[in-house]
Amino acid sequence: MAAYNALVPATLTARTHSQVSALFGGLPLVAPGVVPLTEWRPATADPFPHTADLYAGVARAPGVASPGASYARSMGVAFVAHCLLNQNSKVGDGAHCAGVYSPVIDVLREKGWRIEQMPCPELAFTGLNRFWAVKEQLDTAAYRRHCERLAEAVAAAISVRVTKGEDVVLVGVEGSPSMGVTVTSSDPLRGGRPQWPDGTAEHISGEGIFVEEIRKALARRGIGFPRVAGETHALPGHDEAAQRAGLESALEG
Amino acid sequence: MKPDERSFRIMLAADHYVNPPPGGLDAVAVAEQTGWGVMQLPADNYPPEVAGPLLAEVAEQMEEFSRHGYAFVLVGKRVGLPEALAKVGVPLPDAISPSTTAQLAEFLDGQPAPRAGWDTGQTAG
Repeated sequence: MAAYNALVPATLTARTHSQVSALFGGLPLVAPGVVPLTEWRPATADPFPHTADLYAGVARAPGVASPGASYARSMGVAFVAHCLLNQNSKVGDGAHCAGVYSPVIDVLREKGWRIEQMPCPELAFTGLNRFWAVKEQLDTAAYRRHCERLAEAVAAAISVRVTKGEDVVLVGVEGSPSMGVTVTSSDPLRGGRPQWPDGTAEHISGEGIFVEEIRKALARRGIGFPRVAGETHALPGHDEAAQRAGLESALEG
Repeated sequence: MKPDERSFRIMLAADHYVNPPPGGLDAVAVAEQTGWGVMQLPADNYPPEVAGPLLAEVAEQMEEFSRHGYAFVLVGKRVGLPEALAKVGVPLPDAISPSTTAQLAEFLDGQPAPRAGWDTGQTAG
């Protein structure tokens, strides 16, 4: 090493595996961790004939904001409900803005998260002229099959991200019978009448039908369900600051 | 309840315009400023078995919007999109691959008004 360094302008410093690992300062390492360069996710299935005399590792700095939107600086991938990028997909009277729902999308972009839009299961199944509905009104075998098909498409994309070691969150719509991630809507009395009964509590803890099907589709692939956050406009006492805090918490893990 | 604020205008956007590389054009920011909704196309690096089903869903949803008179444009390109749209009988919309924000904003501004709208006798659908 000394002889080499005496001959070159840019010298080398020999470090042990522990010393190289310590350079990451305790930040969470992306799999497979600190390993010989030739073993860090080789592009070919064929092993290299010789192990490189260099270590490689990648760590993430959670919660560090990236300026502006940039795939290259992505902190992870946020799979978002369709309507968060396109309020035109909402049930009639449900669009909160012209197109992009900025209170959620802007946070994802400020934090450097890549965005992937999921399909809207209700739009494709019941169309633009659909009524407002609670979970019981949509929970049929046919709608479940439809959601399962869409969930398989989303799970395949999540699988690609997870395989690459990318962090994934799922951003839904609280109170939605399909896209709720911790709050959905339920009322067994609704249906078949022009006037809905008053005084029934609609919102309950739980997931919407499409989110349930995404959970099942990921489980079939052996993939854990990601962290979640939700847009909360439909909930009583909606508070945009609280909505943002919930999203930031999910992003930071 | 606030009135429904939808624009009846939808931008079909290639992934690199939604998640732009450093220095790339950010079409979502333009959509926010001009009031267009965004339908994102699958990432270019997804294998066909992943991108295909996602494209099929985009096409089905676009068919529903188109049938109800919503305005559409295409920003960028995506392999497989023309075939997916053809399967549901929807032609490719007016398209642009802009390199500047001004180009995209001018293109959107020049689009005809959508047939759908609250004041045209149409419902949200």
